[in-house]
Amino acid sequence: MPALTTEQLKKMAQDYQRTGKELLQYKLDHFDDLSIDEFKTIGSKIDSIFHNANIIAALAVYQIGKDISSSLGILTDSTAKMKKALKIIDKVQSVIDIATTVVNIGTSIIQKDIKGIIGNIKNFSEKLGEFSND
Amino acid sequence: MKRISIVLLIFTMCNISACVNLDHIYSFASESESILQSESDIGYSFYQSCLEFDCIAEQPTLDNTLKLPDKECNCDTFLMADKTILIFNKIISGYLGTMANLSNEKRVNYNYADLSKSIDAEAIRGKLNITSDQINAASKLATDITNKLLNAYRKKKLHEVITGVNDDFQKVMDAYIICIRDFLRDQIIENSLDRLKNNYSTYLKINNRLLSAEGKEKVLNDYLTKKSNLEKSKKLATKYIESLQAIKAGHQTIYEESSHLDEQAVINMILKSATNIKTLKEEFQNIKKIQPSN
Repeated sequence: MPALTTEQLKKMAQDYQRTGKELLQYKLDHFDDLSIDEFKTIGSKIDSIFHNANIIAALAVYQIGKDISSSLGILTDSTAKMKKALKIIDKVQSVIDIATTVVNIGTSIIQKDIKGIIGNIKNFSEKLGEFSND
Repeated sequence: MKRISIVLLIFTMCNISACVNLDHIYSFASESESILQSESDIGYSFYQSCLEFDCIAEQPTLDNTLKLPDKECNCDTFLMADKTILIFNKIISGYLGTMANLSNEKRVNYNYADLSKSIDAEAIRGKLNITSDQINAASKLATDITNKLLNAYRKKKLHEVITGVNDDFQKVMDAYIICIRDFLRDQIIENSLDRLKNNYSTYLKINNRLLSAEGKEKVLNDYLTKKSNLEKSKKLATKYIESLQAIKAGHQTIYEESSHLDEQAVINMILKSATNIKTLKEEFQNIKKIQPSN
């Protein structure tokens, strides 16, 4: 049997709802006329009808999710593409920072500053590590 | 002559990047993402309706204790529906949040200050035979060019994504709106209001003779408080749906005008859309603040 479409499920839920509302109105209109047992029985039927409408509504939502899954996938892929572009944008500053450490190493070499060379090489390795981890 | 060359260079770079301004896209995307975060503030879900009406009998008892229903309670289908809605929300807000980040020019401000400071060290400056002023000027120019080129890159990527995804975005938004409007609001919340009325009327009928006037008033107040809470959720859902429709329309505008996003008329249209979403968000927050009254 083919699965029901969302529209068919929506129509079914609406039909249940309409029936439940009409019965509820009948029950309230006859508050004084109906016996307690009749009142309880109608009340229980009304509750079951609304419960069924809710179950159908829940199934319809699940069905919608399944129907639209390929579009949801495309939206997720687009988000990933934008995130990739953002990574590239973020990396530019890393490149500038790496260039800065390279210049600092050069300055230390020119000045024959051993401590500076070691410190700047360490800094350079760290920056390079951060960059490749991105 | 040098100055003219620099001015010409800046002018050329500005033309290349079309002096891109993406503030309007940022406003639209960030406002949209922000309203999506408030979905749970509607305060009612499929699962909650199952718990309240299928797992716990709503009718109060005379000794004021909760009565478990006779039927077995299984809320799995309701949980599944809530999960589907949550997936919609997460994917759409993830998309809009990333769009906001990509269009946010203030997110990264490229900075050559440290580099120019390093070059400005006497040892290097001497070798390169340049002055501090020249280094500073070059640093400013490099910053400006980098920012403009990267903004052009953001614009190109946004254009690619928006034009490629709009059809699917519209479909997903339609589906999400149907879930919230046709099923959560018009079925689950609406049915809960009727089930509440049904349960309380049965309770009053059964206990009519047993209840004092004070007892009846208490039951009525209890009913009115619960009804008021559900009506508040219904109003919040309505405002939320209006916001989703505004987001859907705003994205469509950006898509249709994506080849001339820099034109003032287009900027105004998108900013108007962002303002509309912001107003709807404020209205949503105002409804949320209202205390339910009997």
